[in-house]
Amino acid sequence: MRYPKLLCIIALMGLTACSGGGNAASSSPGTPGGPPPAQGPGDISGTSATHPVYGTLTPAQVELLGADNDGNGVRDDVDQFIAQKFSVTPLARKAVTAYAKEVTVSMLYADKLISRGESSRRLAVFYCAANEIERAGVANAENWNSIIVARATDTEERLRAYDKWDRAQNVSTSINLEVNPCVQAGL
Amino acid sequence: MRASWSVISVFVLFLVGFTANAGTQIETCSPNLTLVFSNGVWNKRTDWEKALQQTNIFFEKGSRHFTNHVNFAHPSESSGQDMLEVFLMMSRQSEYSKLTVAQKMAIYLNLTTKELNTWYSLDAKAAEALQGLRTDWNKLVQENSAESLSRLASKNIDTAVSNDIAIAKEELLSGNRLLVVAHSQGNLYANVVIRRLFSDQKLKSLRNNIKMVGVAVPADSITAADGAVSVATTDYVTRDDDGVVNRLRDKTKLVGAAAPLPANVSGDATTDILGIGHRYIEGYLQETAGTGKVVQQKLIDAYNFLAAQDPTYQVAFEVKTNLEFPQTNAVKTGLDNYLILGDESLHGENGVYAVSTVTRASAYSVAVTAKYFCRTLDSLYLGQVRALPIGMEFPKTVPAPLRVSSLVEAMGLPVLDKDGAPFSMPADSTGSTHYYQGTLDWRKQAKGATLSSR
Repeated sequence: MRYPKLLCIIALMGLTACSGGGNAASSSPGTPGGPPPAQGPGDISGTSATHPVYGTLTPAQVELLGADNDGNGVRDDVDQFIAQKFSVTPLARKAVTAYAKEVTVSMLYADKLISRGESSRRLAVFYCAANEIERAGVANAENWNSIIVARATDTEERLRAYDKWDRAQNVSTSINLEVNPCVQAGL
Repeated sequence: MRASWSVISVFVLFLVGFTANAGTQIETCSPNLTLVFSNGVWNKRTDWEKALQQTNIFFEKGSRHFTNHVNFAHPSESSGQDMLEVFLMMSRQSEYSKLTVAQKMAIYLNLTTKELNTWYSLDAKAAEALQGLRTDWNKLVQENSAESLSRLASKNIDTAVSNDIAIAKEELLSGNRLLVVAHSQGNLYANVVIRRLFSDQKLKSLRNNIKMVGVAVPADSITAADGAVSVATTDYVTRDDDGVVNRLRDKTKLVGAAAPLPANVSGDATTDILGIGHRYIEGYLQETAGTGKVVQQKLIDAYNFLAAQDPTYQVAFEVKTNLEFPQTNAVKTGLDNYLILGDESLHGENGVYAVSTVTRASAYSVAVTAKYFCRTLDSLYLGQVRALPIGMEFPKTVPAPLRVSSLVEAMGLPVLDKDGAPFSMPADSTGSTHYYQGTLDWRKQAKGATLSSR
């Protein structure tokens, strides 16, 4: 199902986030051709839409999300980047994608303070990916999470949203490493 | 087999131990260690995630393992607020001078045009960041009174400290030992957190279960293993070219505030505009010119310190005061002593059963929940809180299965209810009920019980 493309057409007519005809990877948001500024409350050019992972999204959220043709909750160009750089093992790719999804969630719900449990689960996603990348011997991989965040927050709006979320979180986090982080993360 | 008991004074309460089965060997066990990273200003989640992971990789290379990882979260709402919090936390370390809060803050953070221009010529990106900080800071100061800023920062600090304490306490009471790697402002937080933790009587016996390693320290001291204030160079690492700490040091001289601990390792940066010499991973943990080795050795020393702690007598107590007396579940076991059978409200975590006594003579009553760490349940100790004169030994054998009634009978004490009538032990006080050993200094109860493991 080419759901996101349909979503873009129906819900966000005129938003350049959909430009590129579904070939989101070729669209580099934040650069010319990327998405325009977020819609204001009175703007009627966008409407809310439903996403298979995130459910109902506001126009601003749809714009922050960008083109997600496979509906996995991660923008297509980020998916493609992960496929290129982190497919060293299937689990590494899966875990890094899950991490990118967490970053995306943070952007979409920038006002939400996550619970300790959520924060721990997210840390489990991080450790699952980090361990797998480390195990696979990926060169210069220690900055992988920063790279993913940078990729996922590639426009001012996205960066601002993620930054807002990141600055607000005040929950101390713990993880028990005796249990496989990938299992804890449900991966 | 009787394990041990100890006496503190004539009016001492004992928790005397027995193993469940005669001849049961006390199991040795590996300690559970928790790696804690206490992050500083402008740290994003990606930063502290990476700091934890990279520190863990270092330990794993030496086959040193941690059971849990924890981050003491210190959110960074804005760069200006971050600096305000640093300022306040540093100021709280010592007496204020006569300058107003606003004056001090201005001195601390007002970056001169000359400074900015110098930095611009060296590194435009860094200078832009610093200018952003100045703008943010000036806006904060212009829009808020010093008092409201102080309140705002205090609120943020208190919230973060409370969160840190809660998670650290949880780890400690789970029997874990905490290696706290504190970086930059994280030192100021960790100092407060650890000192407050050990102002809690029930955690004092666990004070050697935390070891802090200070890195890039803006604080005037760090908290030693025993919870005391330390300025020992063995407990921290600060580079002499750490631009952030050096700047703070210069500013503290101007206002007479407590200066950061002196640098104790040499860095190789001729200038530190980008703050490389301050960064945890690049500037300290993985630094190759010498600092890295110092940091790594301190981390190893801290790990070894924690791993070497004898797990046998790691006991934490939960003290609940002002219970209503006598309790309906109290059993008279002596002239002025009652055994309170643990009920749901007195149960500890992990199925630990609580036992307590109260004395009629005391102005108030106290319930004790003791947790015995690093043992499997079937080798736990049976004990009872009661008053015994010095020299009186606890009975050496207790019939299995463990029963409160058996214990009390073995002690040769009358078992009476609160009205003095013969008491029948409830069925649920048998079987898997476990008691724990330790000591309780009854004399200190007027100011809160002082508890210690033996």
